[in-house]
Amino acid sequence: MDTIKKIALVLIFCSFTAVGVSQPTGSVLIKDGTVLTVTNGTIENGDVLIEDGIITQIGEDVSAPGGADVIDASGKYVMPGIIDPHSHIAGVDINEASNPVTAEVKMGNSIDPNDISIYRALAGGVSSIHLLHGSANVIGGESETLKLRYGQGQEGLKFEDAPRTIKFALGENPTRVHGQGSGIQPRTRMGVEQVIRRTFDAALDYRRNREAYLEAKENYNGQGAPPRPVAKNLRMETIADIIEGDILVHCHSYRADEILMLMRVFDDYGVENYTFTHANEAFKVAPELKEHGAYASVFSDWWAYKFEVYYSTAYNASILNANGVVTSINSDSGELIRHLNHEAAKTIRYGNTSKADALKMITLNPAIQLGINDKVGSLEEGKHGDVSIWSKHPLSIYSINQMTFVDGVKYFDREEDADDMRIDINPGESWEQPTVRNTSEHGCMHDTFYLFSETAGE
Amino acid sequence: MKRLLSGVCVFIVGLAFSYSASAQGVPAKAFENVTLHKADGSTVEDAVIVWRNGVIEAAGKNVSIPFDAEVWDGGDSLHVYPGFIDGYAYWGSPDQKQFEDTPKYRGKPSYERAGIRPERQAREAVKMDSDDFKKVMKKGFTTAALGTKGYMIPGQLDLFLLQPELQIGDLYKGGVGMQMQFEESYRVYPSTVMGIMARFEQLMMEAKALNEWQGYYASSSTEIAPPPNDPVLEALYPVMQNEQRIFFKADSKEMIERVFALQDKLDFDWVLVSGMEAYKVADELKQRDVPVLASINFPKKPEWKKEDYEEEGEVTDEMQGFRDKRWNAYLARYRNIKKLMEDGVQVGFASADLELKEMADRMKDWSEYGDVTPEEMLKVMTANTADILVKGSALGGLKKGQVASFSIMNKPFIEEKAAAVYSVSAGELNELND
Repeated sequence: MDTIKKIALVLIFCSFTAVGVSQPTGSVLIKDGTVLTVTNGTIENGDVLIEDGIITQIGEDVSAPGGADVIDASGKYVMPGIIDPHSHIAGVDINEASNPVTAEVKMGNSIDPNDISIYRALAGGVSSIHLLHGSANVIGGESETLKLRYGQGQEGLKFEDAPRTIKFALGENPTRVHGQGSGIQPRTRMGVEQVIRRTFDAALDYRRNREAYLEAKENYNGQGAPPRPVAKNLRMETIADIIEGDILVHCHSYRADEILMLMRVFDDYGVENYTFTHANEAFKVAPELKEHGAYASVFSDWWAYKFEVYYSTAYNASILNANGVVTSINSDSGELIRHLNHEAAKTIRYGNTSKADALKMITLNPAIQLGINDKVGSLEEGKHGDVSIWSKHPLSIYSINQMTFVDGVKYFDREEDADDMRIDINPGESWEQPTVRNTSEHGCMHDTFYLFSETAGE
Repeated sequence: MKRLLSGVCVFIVGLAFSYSASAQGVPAKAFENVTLHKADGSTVEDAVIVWRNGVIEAAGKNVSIPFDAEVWDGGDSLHVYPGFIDGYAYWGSPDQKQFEDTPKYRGKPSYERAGIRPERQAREAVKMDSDDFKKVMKKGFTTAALGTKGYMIPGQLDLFLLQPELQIGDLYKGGVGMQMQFEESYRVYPSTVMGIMARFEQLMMEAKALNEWQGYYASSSTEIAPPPNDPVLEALYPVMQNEQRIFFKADSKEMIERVFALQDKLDFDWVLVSGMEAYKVADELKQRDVPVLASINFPKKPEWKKEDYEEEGEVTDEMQGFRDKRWNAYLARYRNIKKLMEDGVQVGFASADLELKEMADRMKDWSEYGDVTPEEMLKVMTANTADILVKGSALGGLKKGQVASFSIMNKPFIEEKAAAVYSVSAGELNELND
C-alpha cells in the first residue's frame, strides 16, 4: 500500500472517531478465501483485513496485525454483507395509516432491536437493511437504514450518516386504506397523483411563509406591525426537504402507468434520486427509468397476491439491468430476507444476468439506492468491514452462509449458532414455548387492518 | 368548605415548616403506646404521636401529651407509619371513554378524540366518592397524585390528601405534572408510537408559535390579528417553559429511550412513571437527573414457580434452560427499584396500572424477591415519593411540623394481613374498621 493510501485510510479512521461513532468495531483478517469484491473482480486465495471496522487491505498474503482475529476462509467465498433495500423486520409499528400523508413520522422512532428476525437475517448474510415505513399512505414516514448489530439498542442499529429516505406508495394500498377505508382521497390512481401534487404545493407555500416569518421575526424591533408566527410544521418540513433533494424517495409501485406518472410529477417539482420498489411492471418502462436516472428494487419472482400484481415476470430484474437501470432485489419479508442470495441467483436462471450483476443486485446496487455506496456494498479498502463468508459461491443453491460481520464484528457464526438466540425476555410471556411470528407481519400493510374492521382494536 | 379551608391551611403550613400548632385554639390529638416507623427506617417503641390542626406536633418516646389532647391508646400493638404516597394513581378515575365513532378524516381528529388533554385536571374527572380511596387507605396510603385514564396526554396530575370520600378541599397541590404515555387513540392519528412522538413534537411547535403570537398581540394589539383561543396548546406552556414536568409512563427500555429522544429534541423536564425496565437505563436516568416513580406491577409468577405446582412429564435440559432465563428476567424486574437506588436514581412509588386487588400480592413479591429491606420499601413509598412530587414538601414523614398524614396499622406493613385500622390524613382521623 502506498503512503498516500495509508494516510487516506488513517484519515478515514480519524473521521469516524471524530463524528463520535460509538458502535463496536472489530479487527479481523479473513484469509485464503475466494474474495468476491463486486467492484474489482474476484481474488482467488485472497485476504481481507478489517481494522477497527474498516477494510484496510484486500489482496494476497496479508499479515494480521496484533489484536486482529484470523479466520481461515480457505475453500469458502467472501463477499460484502448483503443489503436489503426493502424490509420491515426490526420494526415496532410499520404504518401510521391514519392519514394519506404522514411524512413527519420516522421509522427511526419505531425500531425493535430485539426482533429475532435480525439474527435470522444475519444468518442469511445480510448486514444492512432499509427499514421502511409501510405502504398504506401515499406519502408515508421517513425510513431508517440499519446495520444489523444484533444485541445493540435502537441507536446502535442505525447506519450512521446514511442519507434520509422516505416511503411513497402508489396504487391499491393507499386507495384501499384511505379511499375505501375512509371514503377520502385518494380513491383512484388519479387521486394519488393529486395528493402528491397538492402536498408538494402546500409544502412549497409553507416553506416560503415560514422563511418569510423567520426573516421578519429576525428584523422586528418592536416597532410597527409584528410578524404573524408560522409554526414549524414537521410534515411540511419533510416534504419541502424532499423537493430540495435532501431525502431519497423509495416508492412502492407496481404498474407501469403509475411509475410514469410519478416520474412526471417529480420532473415538475425537480425531484431526483428515487427508487421504485416492487415495480413489477418496471420492465415495461425500463428505458424511461434509465433516462430519468431512476432506480428499481424488485422481487425476483413474487406476484399475483393482489390484482395490480398479476402482470409480472421473472425477467423483470434482468430486463431492467440490461437497460442500464440500477436494480436491486429486496425481500419485504422476514422469510425472503434469509436467502436473498437465492433471489439474486434467479436473475441468472431466468434472465441470463451475469453473476457479477446478480451479486450487485443484493450488494452495491441497494447501497447506491440508499446512498451508502461510499461506505458499503463492495469489498474495497476504506469501506466498512461488512462481510459475509459462504460455504460455496453465494449464488449457488447449495451455498450456506457461515459468518456475517458488521464493522468487523462477528454477529453470526454458524458454528456458534445456539438453539435460542432471543435476547429480549418478557417474563410475563411464556418463554419456554417459542412463538412463531407470522412473517406477513413484516409486510408493507402491517398495522393497517384495524382500519377495515369495526371491531378490530377494541 | 371546611375541607377546603383545612386543605389550604395544611398546604401553607406544611410548606412553611414553622408552624406553631399550640398557638391555635384547636385541641390536639394523640396516639400513645404505639411503635413508630419513621421514614428513615428507624423505629421507636412505646412511643407517642401528637398532632394538632393537621400538623404533627411531636412524635417519639417520652413525649408529653398536651392537656387538651384527645388520646387513643395503641396498647403496644399498633404501628404508626408515615402515610404511604402513591406518586401516580388511577384511583377513582373512570375508565377511558370508548369512542365508537370513526371520524371521516382520521388524520385530523379533535384534540379530545386523539387523546390530547393537557388542559384536563384530574379533580374534574375523578369520582370523588369512589370506594377506592377507603380501600387504599386501609393499605396505608394517605396521599396520592391522582391522574386520569386516557391516551397520549390524559391530563394533569392532582395531589390529594386522601379521605374515604374526597372533596376538593383535600387537594394538596393541583397540576403536579402533565401525564403522558405512548398510548394510541382509537383508529385516529396518531395511531402509532412514532405518530405520538411526531404529534407531540408538532404540538410543542404550535404552542411555541401561539405563545409568540400572544406576545406580539399583547404588545401591539392594533397591528396584528388576535391569536386564536386554544386552551390545549396553552396548557402546554408550563412544560414548554420548564415550569412543569411531564410524568411520562413508560416501561420497556426502548420506550424509555424514546422519551430520552423526545427530551433531547424538546428540552422538557420529566419524571419516569412505572419504568419496569428502568434498571436497564439507570445510568442514563441518573445522568439526566430523571426521577422514577416505579411500579411494582410485576408479571405473575409462572405456574412452575408456585409452591403447589406439580410437574407433568420430564423437564428437559433445554426446558430448564428456558425456565432459568425466564426466572432471571423476573428477578431483574423485582430488583428494578433496588438497582435504581444503588445507581443513585431518585426512586419513588407509583401504583400506575397495578390493580388494587393485586397490590398485596405484588408487595409481597417485591419484599420477597426485590432485594430490599422493609425500611427501604418504606422510604420509597413515603419520603422519596414526596420529594419527587413536591420538592421540600412537608409530606412523607413523622417529624414535627410535617403534615399529619400517617397510618396506624395492626402489624408491620409487610406482614400477612397487615392493614391500617386508623388513618390520619391532613390531621383528620378515620377509623377504617368495617
